[in-house]
Amino acid sequence: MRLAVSPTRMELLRLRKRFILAKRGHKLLKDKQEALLHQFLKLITENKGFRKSLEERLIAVATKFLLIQAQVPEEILEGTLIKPEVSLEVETSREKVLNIPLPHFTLIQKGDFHSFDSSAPPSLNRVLDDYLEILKELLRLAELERKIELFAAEIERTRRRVNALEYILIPNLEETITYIEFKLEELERGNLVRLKRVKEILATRVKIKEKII
Amino acid sequence: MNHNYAYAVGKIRALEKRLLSKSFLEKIAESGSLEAITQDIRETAYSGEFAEERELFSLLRNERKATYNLIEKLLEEPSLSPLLRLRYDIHNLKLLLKKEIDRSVSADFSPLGAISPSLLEKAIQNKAFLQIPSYFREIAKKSIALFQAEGIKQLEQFLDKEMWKLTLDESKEIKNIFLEEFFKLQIDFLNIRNFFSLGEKENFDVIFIVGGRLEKKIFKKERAAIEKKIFFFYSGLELDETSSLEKSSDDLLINYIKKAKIYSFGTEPLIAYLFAKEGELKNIKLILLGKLNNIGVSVIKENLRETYV
Repeated sequence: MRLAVSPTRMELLRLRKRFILAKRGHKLLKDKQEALLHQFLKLITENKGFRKSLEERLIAVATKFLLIQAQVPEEILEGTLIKPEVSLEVETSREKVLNIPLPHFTLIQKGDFHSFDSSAPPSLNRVLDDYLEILKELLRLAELERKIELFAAEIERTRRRVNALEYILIPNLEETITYIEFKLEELERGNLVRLKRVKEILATRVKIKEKII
Repeated sequence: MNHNYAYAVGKIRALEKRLLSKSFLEKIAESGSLEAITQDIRETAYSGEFAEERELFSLLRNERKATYNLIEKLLEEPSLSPLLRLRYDIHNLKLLLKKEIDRSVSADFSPLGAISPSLLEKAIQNKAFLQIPSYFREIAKKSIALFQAEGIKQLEQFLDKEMWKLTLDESKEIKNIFLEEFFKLQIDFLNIRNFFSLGEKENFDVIFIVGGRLEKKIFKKERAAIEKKIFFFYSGLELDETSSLEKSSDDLLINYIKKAKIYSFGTEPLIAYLFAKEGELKNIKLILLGKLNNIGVSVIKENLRETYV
């Protein structure tokens, strides 16, 4: 679709600049899209394996915990696991990759949750250690999956931009530039014809004058 | 030998007949569904009314409570029952102090303690320690002071040591060798389990519980020498993994209480029955939890503890 601009030489120069810029932008966005896709596929593969191994580990630890649960009365186990002096916090920070603000989670543990209480078996400490490790890995998984979401959104946005440039802006600019060029050539030709005609008229007048004289 | 226990032992012998055998537990562990298990359990001593799995767990809780009450009723030494319930009183005290730090703690008190949790709470709040039994008074006082000065972790270690000290002292006082030996076994197994599960060995000195047959200096030797010494005392222990160590030590404890079968009178059969019942309840709970959470039959069977019958 032709843009609604006046077909002047100034406009043509402006549109040509825009056209070059659009072409360069298109190329850059195409490169970005490729880089994003490459990273995205890498993240997807990493996530698939990581999630599977984490789920397997989680099941193994949950089974161990279940075996402990069977050996200790509920209220004793619950009481042993209550640790008011221990806290776990998650600190979040962001870093930009390909202009995408990627989240980073860090687990901060205050206090020691191990207990050497004869009511609970010592294997409880091992299970708690395993759970803590898994919690850290879960945060890594959350980080990874959020990255994938952000990459997917960015790929989608970039794809729309590339398409808009490729199928709308660049063709429109091309069409408008061609139109203005055509229009200007038309004007040029009109001018030339007019000048030739004037020249002819003037020549005719000169001839008539010469005949009279 | 205390001939006053003739009725009590007779009753316990009758109840022992209703304890579940290992082969029965293995059979129900192999059952395909939870419904089949509940059906099998209904045909045993656990024939109380229950419809859902949740009710089954509360049935197990009630059974534990009923067993403690029965043993308390049958015991003639007044100091013995609080001794058997001491770990639950200690748990309630710990929980009370934890609630001091964080009011949002919603965990339940154990109903199995000899001292009512509300009485304990009032005594601590009002510093009116005369309200609580004398054997627990000093522990409660020292616990509060330690909790305020050093925190929960040190308190837990202190309470653990005090609990074992009190149980050993009391069992010596009432001259119950069976019980004393049983507690010593428990202390030894606890020390061994802590030693092998502990990452930093220097902490072991702090948590070591005195009173068992194995002295602290044994654990200061090379690993091979430690294992040799442990095998000298307890040849049935499996030291390779924490879980197998825990299982083998539980099995040895059950094997020890089986000695009570030869006693015709006295407190021994009663105490043995209480621990046998506790073991049985743990085994049933393991099977139920395993089935509810789709744990493999082999894992459940591997972790089933030895039974009294």
